[in-house]
Amino acid sequence: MSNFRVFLVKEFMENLRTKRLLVLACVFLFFAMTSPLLTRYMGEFFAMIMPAGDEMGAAVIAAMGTPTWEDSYIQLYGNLGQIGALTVLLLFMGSILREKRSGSADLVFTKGLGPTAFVLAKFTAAGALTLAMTLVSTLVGYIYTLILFEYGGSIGNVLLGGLAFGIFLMMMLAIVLLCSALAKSTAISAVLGLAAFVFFGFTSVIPRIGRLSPGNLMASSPISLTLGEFPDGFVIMLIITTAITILSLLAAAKITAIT
Amino acid sequence: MTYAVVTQGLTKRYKNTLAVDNVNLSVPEGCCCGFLGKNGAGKTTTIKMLVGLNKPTSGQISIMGEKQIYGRQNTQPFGYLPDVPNFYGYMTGAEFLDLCGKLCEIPKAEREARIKSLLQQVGLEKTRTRIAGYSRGMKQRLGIAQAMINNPPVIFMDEPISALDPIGRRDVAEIIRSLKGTTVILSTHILTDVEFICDYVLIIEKGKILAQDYLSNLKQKYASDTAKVRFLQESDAAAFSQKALTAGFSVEQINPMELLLRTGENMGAEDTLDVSRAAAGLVHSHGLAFESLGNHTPTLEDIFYETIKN
Repeated sequence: MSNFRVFLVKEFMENLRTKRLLVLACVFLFFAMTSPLLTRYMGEFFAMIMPAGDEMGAAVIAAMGTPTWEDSYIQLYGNLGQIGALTVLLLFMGSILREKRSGSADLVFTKGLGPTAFVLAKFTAAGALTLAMTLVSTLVGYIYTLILFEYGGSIGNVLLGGLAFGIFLMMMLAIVLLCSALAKSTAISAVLGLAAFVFFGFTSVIPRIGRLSPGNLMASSPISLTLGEFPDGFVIMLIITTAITILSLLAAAKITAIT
Repeated sequence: MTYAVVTQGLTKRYKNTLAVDNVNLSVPEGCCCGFLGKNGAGKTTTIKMLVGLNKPTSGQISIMGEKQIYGRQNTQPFGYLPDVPNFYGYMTGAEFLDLCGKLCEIPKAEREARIKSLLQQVGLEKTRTRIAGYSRGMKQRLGIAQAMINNPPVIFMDEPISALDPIGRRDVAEIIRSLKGTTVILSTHILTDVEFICDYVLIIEKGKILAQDYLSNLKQKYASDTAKVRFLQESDAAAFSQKALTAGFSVEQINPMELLLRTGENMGAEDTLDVSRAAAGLVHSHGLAFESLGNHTPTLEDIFYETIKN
């Protein structure tokens, strides 16, 4: 356990010094700030650039309707669920592979660090930073929504929505680490991680069972929770997501141990 | 004699390839052991099994009398330097050693003192840059320091000097030579380095150990069955060569005037005892004029080639 703590500190230092945290913060905060802005002013922006007398354009703007504070969160999770999740995938896709290939993992393994502690430390550091950035982003999104729409919903519900999205990202991180342990190259690791991401996106739209897919945590569930609605089958979905996370981490540790 | 590293029937098989074949080695405590072999002979696989990074297919490993079990944390510390050590480039050398010291659970005060002394020993005490900016030689020196962080009785080094320039090689070789009292097992295929650094030798070929002994013993052994004769005239050298071959000896011509005489494959054990005496007999009986005659002191290169050839 003490080795886990030591390596966890090293992982935090790595994420800080290799600027992964900076990239993560920039991407998440960018969308947290721009999503409410886009929602609020999209119609006005279109109207401004539309040529005078364009009836079709005027119809589109009319169909968009007046933006609401709810639309602000739909926009936020639409962006974070795609670009945010992809950023996490790209930042951490080579974590284990890089250390195994370069031999730096061998140096720490021969000093008493076990593969389970190695994988868990990587997951904990990356997960903590990702979850923190998610919560900060939702909070920033809330503040912007509050300013722009004069109402941002219940702060508790907003954070609950952020937490649900964070849990999805944690699962994706665990899968990314598993891919990184499995793959022989960073490119293959990225493709595997991307395939998992797409897979969960698709499973969430399958009739009946789709409501239990962890893919719902990417956007629809966080939005529902933010708006104060409890999604159907949410608890089972959380159990499935947690199980996938744990199994991915155990498999990653097992594969890392096998040379 | 006590042994620092002992293996019994150590074997590693990858599908259809037998990388390490029933290796029984015994490395005496406190020696510097050169682990020699061609590329692909099984050196790295053996070392990786010894340090617990590779699971043996079968066999047993004991380090300082303690049985090593794959996947279980070692209570008996050892150091390890891989062939191309790669560190965390965003750390400084001192930070990396601190990480290693913490993983080895060395108390803070002791760790700090040890890091300072190790950096001094490997000549990196004044380097403040991050490891990403280190040269290959500096990385190798840091690699040696990290292998020594927990003051281990045994250090395994995989090709520690092969990829360095002449100055880097000399520096690292000097550091390894200075590790008195520590058992060092270093794999390499550069024989001159082993001759300079090591006092014990293991020779591996196709996964099998072909020779293991103190270098001085090996030299003595190989010297006793090889004689070197230098003639005054080329014609005498040629005549001697012919007579020796007829008598069943093996002859190697170093130059037109100089020959190496070895016992032939079909000769009895009694003939191998003193080749020099036999050479003197041949020279005398045929009235040949020679400049010098005596046992040939082989280099490690001679021993290595002879072992591999046999």
